[in-house]
Amino acid sequence: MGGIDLADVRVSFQVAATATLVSIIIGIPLAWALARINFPGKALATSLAVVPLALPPTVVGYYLLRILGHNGPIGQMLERLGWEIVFTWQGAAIAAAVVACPLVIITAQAGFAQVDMELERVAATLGRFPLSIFRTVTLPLAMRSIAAGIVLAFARAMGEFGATLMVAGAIPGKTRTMSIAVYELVQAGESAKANATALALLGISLASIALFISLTSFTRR
Amino acid sequence: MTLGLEAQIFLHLGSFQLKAHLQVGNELATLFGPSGAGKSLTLRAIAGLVRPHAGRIVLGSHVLFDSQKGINIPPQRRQVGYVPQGYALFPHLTVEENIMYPLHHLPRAERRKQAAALMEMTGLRGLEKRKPHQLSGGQQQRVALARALAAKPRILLLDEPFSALDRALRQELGQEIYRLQRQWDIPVIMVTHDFSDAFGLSQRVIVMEQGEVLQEGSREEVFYQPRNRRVAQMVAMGNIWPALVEEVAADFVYLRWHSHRLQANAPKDTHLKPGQKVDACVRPVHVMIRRPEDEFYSRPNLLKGYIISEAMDIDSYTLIVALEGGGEVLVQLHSHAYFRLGLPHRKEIEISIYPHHIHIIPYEP
Repeated sequence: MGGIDLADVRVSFQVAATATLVSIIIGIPLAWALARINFPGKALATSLAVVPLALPPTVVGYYLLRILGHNGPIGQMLERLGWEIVFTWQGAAIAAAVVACPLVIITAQAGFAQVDMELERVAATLGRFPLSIFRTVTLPLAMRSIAAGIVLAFARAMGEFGATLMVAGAIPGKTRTMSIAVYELVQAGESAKANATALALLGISLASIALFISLTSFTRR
Repeated sequence: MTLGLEAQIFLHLGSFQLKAHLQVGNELATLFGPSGAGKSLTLRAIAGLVRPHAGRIVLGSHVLFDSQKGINIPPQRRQVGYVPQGYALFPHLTVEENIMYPLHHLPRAERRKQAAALMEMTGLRGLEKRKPHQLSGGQQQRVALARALAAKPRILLLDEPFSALDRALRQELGQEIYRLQRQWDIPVIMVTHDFSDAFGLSQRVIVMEQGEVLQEGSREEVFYQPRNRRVAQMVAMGNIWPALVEEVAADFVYLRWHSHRLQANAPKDTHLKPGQKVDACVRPVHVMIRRPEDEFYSRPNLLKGYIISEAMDIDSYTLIVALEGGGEVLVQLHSHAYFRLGLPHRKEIEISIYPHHIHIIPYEP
């Protein structure tokens, strides 16, 4: 009694880490494209990529359920392959990723946009091809912003409540994250456990924000 | 055998049209003109960073671009050293890493060796581990040059290389660029909007405005024989007088300007007719002031006037002389001459201009 349920901690980190990884894989190339490529409908694409930030998480969860659930287009497809997303930790991770990814996109896009394109042009005249230029010039110079975005995304995924609950429920040891546990523990009157879990989440959030501030507050030059 | 660069570039960006045709040998050339003339765009087209809509760019025996044959070599394969305005040093890399950047295909030891040689040559030794923001403007410029040279370019393009530097540093780096050009024996094109940068060191000057080349020639040609009024203004001709051709002789032309009859050398390539309107150009330093004791000496184009304004510059004075019989003349002379001629106390003077110092250009209303 009184301690944190380690299963909740494990699920939280599993969900948040996976969501962060997905956000990185999807968010960084998308952020680069939004910062560097002009295409028709760019404003719309940007809005769509970022809209989960502004939506209530339960609404995000609701639409994910419609898409990934038994009757949803992707849900049915995956079910035929023998994979059920709803009420699994992977489902929770997807929900958390949808909410967290915009934070990577916004910060990384700003990071890419502030890299002087003249540097990339000069790199081309010095014999380097686009992928090499991205690796040696663009990415290192945008790295601080990208890292800040990743930290924010992780913090957001850790704290995600509404969307994950809608998609994955709160199965202890399976899909119940720490943030959901706090709610349930308070409901059940287990104030000591609730207290400890809330305190742990507070610590993680503070650490994340401290890291975020140190990444963004002083810049090169 | 073709040496150097020959470029014909047609390009439009929005309402701006670039129609540049230039030829530069293995020499130092300056692309000179006001901002918005298309100078930087021309450099970028040569470097392969913008694609012309039509034209042909040939560097030595290599065709870099040919719209008719569908050739467009990417910047990576052009071996064009491009130093943009502001130098575009990689801020996250040290001086040494910046210079080694184009050498990535070589083993590390070889890269360091070549970078060390370039740093020695450009006077950067001891700054290997510095970051660009820890360098002075002049040092940054040198790093940019060394980095461009590390890629073994066949041409060097420098966009406003002196814009961020003070006067003393301009001269020093100008000499350095001149020396590098000699040493590497490749075409070097500098872009500048500053008149004083344009003529000092470059053997060739290309004057551009509004996307077109107005004149291309040796610095002396452009400076002393501008082709039209706009170029004359850009090279600070100072005196541009609308005159009338009065008489055409074998070697001389006689012009009427206000009540003055001026004897000028006949221009080589244009045939003038009596009664024709022209512009007569005289550089302010080519107007001589007659000494009071010079009584018996006959001077060409001797005109009487009165000094109405005097401005002092570094080591020189610029005077405005109102002539008897109409017209004003801008006169520039060395401070030493200003005092020798007693001008601090003498405002009524006689001026004289050699016929070969009067350059005739077409009249433009």
